Amino acid sequence: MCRFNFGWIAGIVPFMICISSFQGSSMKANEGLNQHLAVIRSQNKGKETNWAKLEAECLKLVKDHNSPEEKGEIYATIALIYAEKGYTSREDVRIPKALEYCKKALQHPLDATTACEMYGRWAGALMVTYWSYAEEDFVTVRQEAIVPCLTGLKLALDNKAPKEYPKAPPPVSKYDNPGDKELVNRHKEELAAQKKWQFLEKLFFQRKALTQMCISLYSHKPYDADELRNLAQKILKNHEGVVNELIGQVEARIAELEAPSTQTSKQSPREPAKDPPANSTQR
Amino acid sequence: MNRQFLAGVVSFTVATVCISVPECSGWAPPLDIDSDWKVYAPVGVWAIVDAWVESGGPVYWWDWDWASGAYNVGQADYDYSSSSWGIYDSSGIYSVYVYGYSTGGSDDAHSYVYAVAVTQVISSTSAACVGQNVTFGAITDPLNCAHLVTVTWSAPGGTPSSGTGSQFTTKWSTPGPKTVTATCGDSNASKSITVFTIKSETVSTVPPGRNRTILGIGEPVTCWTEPSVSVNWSVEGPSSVYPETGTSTTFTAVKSPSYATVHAQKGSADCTLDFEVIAPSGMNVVKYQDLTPGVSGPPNNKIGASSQFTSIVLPTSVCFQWAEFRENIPTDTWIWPDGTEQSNLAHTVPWSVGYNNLTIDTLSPQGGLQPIGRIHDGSSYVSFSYTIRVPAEYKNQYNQWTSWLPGETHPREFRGSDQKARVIFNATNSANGDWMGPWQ
Repeated sequence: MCRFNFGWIAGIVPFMICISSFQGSSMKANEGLNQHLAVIRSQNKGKETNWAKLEAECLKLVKDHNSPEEKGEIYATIALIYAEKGYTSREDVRIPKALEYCKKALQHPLDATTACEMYGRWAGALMVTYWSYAEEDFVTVRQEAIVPCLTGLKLALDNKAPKEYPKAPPPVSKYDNPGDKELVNRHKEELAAQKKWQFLEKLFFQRKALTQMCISLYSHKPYDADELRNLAQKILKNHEGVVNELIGQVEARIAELEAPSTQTSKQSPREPAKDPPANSTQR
Repeated sequence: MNRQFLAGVVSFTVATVCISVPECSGWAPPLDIDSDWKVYAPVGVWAIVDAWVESGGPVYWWDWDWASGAYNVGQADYDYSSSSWGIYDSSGIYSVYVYGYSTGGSDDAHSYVYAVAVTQVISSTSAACVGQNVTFGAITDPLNCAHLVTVTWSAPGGTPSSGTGSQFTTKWSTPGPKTVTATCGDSNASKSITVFTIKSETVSTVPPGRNRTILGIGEPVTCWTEPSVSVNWSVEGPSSVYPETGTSTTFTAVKSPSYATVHAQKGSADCTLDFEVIAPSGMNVVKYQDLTPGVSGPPNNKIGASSQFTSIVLPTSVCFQWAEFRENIPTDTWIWPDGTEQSNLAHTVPWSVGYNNLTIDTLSPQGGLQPIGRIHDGSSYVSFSYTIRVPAEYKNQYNQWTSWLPGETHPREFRGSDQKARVIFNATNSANGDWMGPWQ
């Protein structure tokens, strides 16, 4: 019997899935916007970066790039500016900003791998915040963090994210004669294979990261693999094999964590020496 | 009661002696004795309490009373001082009384013996990095006595591996669970912490030595903690980590030359791993094979030659599989010996390399197979050459193409004397195709 109240989750999951429309790898490339965003993003060096300035520079671009796709790309870039360097503590000022922009980006059309990463960064920000909570509080916040985690994983799986690292195709060859149709066609095929592999590789890394986050959340005390199973079965519909695998990985991790034990004991005193040694006491 | 009886006997005896001894005036100064106020001893170790005469004396008889729990009690007595020793095997604060008897009367003194046991070891952190100093402290019963007794420490594998004092600082050069034990007399307590380090492995299996920290632009690396500890991952400098928490993360190098430091933080432990990201610096080109020459002989007297070269992006100490390359070929125009003008329109050719930084470059005449008449200047077949410029670029972190081999060219040579064609590929190294032909 389910011990948990998943009513709120049942409401939020369809919302999270419907607020985004994900377009595989077929999003139209907007090279101009991409370049603007790349230049801004490249100024993020971690500590001592003026993130608010970079955020403002990105938001300025909305004026000229205000299609839903473009806004999604802008918000996702801001989310990454705040999230992609990780966090130094749970009080890191970047965490609320990362959460805000992940959610905002997911309300716009995103390509599948970016959407997966937004869910992952969302879950990651929550995990960093909640990681050192007392067990009784962690139980509640974990239920919040696991939802974007599993939702992102579902999206990756729906896009056929491979479990194993995808084998790279042959490299894209060079040629200098555009008049050689055979060469040009072969090159196009190689390029298409390369793009497909790049997409699969991104999906692989998303699947790996999101799976690992789910494992981390539920191999944290208090252990509750049953709760994860219930949630995963609800969110990862049509991926029963992955649910079982996930639970197995969580149980294995818990077993690993429980194997070593911390020792703090006071041993029984031994029979003392018979003669009083010099300097045996201190006054 | 027994003590009172003894005191009475002693007083009576002393009084009797005084009456019979001429020197004894019948008056003696009152006895005042004192003893150690507090004595600290580890459980299982002798506690020695001293008592002495402050005034009066000499003392004819010292009587020590150790509280229950002490055993092996003994004493050594002198006229003006006495020592007594005893052992407790349970921690606590015990009272010890001493009584002295002299002709001037009797007196007593009271001492406290603190039998100290170490009950717990605390540490500044539950996890530490390899090489990080960790301080341990001993908690005692009675409390706050660690600095008053001898506490010895052992830390197998640590530097130092032993020490004394209420606190102990050490570090380890290898990862794994580490146990530090504090011993105080017969008591001891231990604390285990996890000493971890960051391990890394490039996704690329080539070149070998996947724990290298010099990476090609865009190269991903899996980082994890050993032993497995859940940490917060972060990075200083360009590049990124994902996810931000857990036992492992993927570090992705930025697509420009740079330095980055990956942090794995848990509590006060902050382990780091430095990476350097480098850009391509050159290309090594070797002829791979000559392809089938163009069809020769009338009526197909064409010049057709094609050769393939392996192009290896340097340095091969890193992997450039994740770099985006292109040949940015500009417009070039040349005039054949027969006066025909031919142009190669500007175009770009994206390309990539495998794990081994290798790709194949195919060279063939622009415009397809040329009539052999192109190298006939009206009187005879002559030698001729033209060059296609193929500057190489990679895409950097700004999504901008960066030129890294601006002088790369693909010269073609045609030999009129024997109606053969050859192509010569020049980059930082040069490689030649074989002569092909004849086509007549």
